[in-house]
Amino acid sequence: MKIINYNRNIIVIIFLIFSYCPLVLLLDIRISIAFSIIVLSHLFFKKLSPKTKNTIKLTFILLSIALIFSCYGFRIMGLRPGSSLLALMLGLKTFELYRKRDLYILLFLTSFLSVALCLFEQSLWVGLFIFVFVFFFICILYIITISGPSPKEKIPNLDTCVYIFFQAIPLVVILFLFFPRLPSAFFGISDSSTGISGLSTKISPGDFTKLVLSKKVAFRVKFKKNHLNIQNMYFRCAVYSKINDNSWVICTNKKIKFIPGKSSSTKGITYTIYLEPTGNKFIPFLEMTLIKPKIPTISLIQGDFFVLKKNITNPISYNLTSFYPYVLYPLSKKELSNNLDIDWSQNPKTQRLIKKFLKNNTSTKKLIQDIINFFQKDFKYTLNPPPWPHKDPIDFFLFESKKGFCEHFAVAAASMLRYAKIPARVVAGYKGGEINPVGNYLIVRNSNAHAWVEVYLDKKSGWVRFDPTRYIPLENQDPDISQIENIYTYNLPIPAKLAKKILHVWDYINYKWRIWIIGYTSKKQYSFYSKLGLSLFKKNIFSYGILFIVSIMLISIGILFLIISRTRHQDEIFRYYLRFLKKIEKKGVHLKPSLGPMDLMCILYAQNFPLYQKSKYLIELYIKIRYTYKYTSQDIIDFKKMVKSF
Amino acid sequence: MNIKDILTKSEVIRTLISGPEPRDRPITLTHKNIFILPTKYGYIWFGLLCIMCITGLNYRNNLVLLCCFFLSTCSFVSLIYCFFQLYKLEILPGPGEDGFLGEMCCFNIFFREKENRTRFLELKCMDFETNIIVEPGSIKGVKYFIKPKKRGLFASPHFVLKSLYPFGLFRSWALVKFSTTCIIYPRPIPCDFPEINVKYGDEKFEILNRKGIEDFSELDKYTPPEPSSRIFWKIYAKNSKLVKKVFSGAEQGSMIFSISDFKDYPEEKALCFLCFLVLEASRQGYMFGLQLGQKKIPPGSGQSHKIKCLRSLALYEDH
Repeated sequence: MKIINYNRNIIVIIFLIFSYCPLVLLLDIRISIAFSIIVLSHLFFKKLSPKTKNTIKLTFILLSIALIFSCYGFRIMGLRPGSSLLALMLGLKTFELYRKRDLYILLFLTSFLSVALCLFEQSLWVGLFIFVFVFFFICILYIITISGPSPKEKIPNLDTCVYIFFQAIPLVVILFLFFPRLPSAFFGISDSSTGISGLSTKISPGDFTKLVLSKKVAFRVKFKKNHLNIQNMYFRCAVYSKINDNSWVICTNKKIKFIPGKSSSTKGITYTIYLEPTGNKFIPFLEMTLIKPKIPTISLIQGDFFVLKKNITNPISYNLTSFYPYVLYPLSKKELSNNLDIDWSQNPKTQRLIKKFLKNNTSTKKLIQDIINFFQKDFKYTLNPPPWPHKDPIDFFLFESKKGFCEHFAVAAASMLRYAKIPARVVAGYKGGEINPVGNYLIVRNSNAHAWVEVYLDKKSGWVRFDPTRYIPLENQDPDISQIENIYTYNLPIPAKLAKKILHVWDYINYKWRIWIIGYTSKKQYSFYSKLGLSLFKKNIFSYGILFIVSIMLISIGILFLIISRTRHQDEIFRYYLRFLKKIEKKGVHLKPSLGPMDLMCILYAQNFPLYQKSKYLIELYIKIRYTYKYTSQDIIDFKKMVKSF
Repeated sequence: MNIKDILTKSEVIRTLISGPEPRDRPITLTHKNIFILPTKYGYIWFGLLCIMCITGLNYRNNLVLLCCFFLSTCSFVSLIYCFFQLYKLEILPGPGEDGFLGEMCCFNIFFREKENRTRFLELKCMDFETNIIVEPGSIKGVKYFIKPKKRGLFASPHFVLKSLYPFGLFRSWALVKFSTTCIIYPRPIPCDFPEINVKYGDEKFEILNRKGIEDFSELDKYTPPEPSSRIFWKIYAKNSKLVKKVFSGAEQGSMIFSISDFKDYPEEKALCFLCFLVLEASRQGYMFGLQLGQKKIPPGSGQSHKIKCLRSLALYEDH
């Protein structure tokens, strides 16, 4: 390892590429292509003259900016455009690796690529990546420092880096536990382009012809007591009660007060949900909670579900107690009419069918049974349904295609009920999940996303759940569904049982990572402090104080740097000359910044003769020192003295 | 006890205010004479870490904080490593080597490493800079060169021993000054050698014929203290016998160079001429002496005589 010739520039560039790698999956593919072109072109442009190099550099800069605008529009303040810009500019920096200084700057800024990565995702994989990143970072810092002025040298022994890395770990743990956290953010970056599959603000099943079931974990639930009936657990997220152009949308009523319902059941189910960043604003909870979750950022509570002000981009956790069965508040007349709203000019066949159903009976329960019976006849559950036509979509589904997934069935059933003048709405959320025996908690994946119907029976019963998909016979299900449902059918060369076990352990590690590392919030920190008897830290003032001090430090370092960089190039004599000019200006002579010393003499001669006489020798001395080599050290001393006493 | 006394009681503050004290014995660097501060890159890096920390705090992103803490603790640990680069390093003073004004003069120092640690050091003394690597358990000699501005006794200025190891984020340094001296001879300025007045004893005589001096007369056996410039190398090459050339003129007597011969010149210049003469006479193997005001060096030859003459020229002061 000791005697390998290397080029330290190449090492830094390889490190830059390594730091960019995880971002390939998160940024626009065009950005990644541009990044690789820029970095690789550096190798080909090595032998060009500096002038051509500069032209190429300028062209690349302009192209990069144009590319970012074309990828993300004019919203350049977001995380994606920001990290793209950083990556491309770092790529361009590889063109000017002349000295050690450039290497240091490139290396330091590369660390912000990993920060961008952490802002995108906080998974265990990213955590492991950061671990490796830090080690390589210090190794390269070491190599740059140890290496001499020539760029090609032997790789030094990296034992020291290994020691430093492991010696730092205990300190990291202490800092992580004790460094005060903020309870809420000061400022935020909007990232409108976050597109994580999940629930949206509207349901329009006709638009999709293919539903991809994602195996990604949506959230994990830890129950206080064990619950066996997992498959019948419905986690509610959003309620769609308004129809808008064949789509079911969330009713944006003005009522933002949470109205707690009642429950006949006195025994609640207490649990904690560890929600992954879903990219939407909904907070899933089991059945119906009668109290609102304690989430600091919860800002809008819409009727009977919770909406956050911003999309969930960071993992959050909350404790809740849910009840079933439950009765929500009775509907007002306006709400009743809202939940009956349907386009009567469409779907004539459906309307006729409902009329036929209603002829035989008048009870809602009976009608629902009729609908169930209708669906059970020859409907198929498939993930690849045909698209719905714009005109009479429900008719198409009920009488022609007869194929769809949960959203199709829910929307069709809710529409049928509304045609029967029974208040109905579509609810989206998650159903079921999988118990991880390793940590004894429930894993709910994105593939568990589900949609069902709620029917308003009467004031006494309130909204009652009706899940039409449940009644589709198993033999009518698409054969691929069972394959997709079983997440353990990865093409692994190990037995399925072992694979299952390994995946469970891996998920358990993720779960713990999520609780201990990502979920270590200011709240948890306060409880940790109070366990240690450090009640002083209970106040948020402390954390804000830290932030304030850090900001002040940062600003002062910035100012210091600005001053240093401004004065660095001015030599001492020039500083004295500037001081002299200021003194002249104080005496009422107006000077332009472009004025040379000879011009100054002329101006003084014309404007203020006594001042000219006084400063003539001084200016001449300055010219002598500045523009000739025929000066002595005594001249410099004299010049300084004269300026001081002027 | 006033505040100045309190301040100057600490070696660190004393060193900062009035520079290091000269020492004539070996010095082992300890916390008392090692300073440590971030470098320019260190300041930039800590500024960036602050931004990283604020980002992590603001977005309540523990992974960003973890990354930031990891990088900052590694930097912090590097501070300790940087300090230990100098800690317990023993520096031993070596002799100074005499030189001429206008040329570099040289001082020797030695580093003794007892801590089983490789030390990556940088030595800076005025304009001179060099990188030193001291291997574990070894003694390393280092020369540093300075261009003196004056002839005479030249005391070694303090030198800075610094280390940027391991990450270049911190600079640890120590100011060391040894009371080593060397002698700076006047700058030799060529002057016309044969046409000057030289003294023989107390009697003045003139060397009229340069040829006469250099007339070869015979070969004789060479005896070591004599100037090597007279060895007849051709014979040595043939039969390995050291034989010297004897010149007829040289037998005429020895010369005394006097400062009073250059009365028309400024004193410093006169010393420069004399310096040249001493060197030239020594090179050519003459017997020569010096008369500097009251001080007189009787004629002689050989290396030690030359140095004696040069030293008296360097230390000459007109009272």
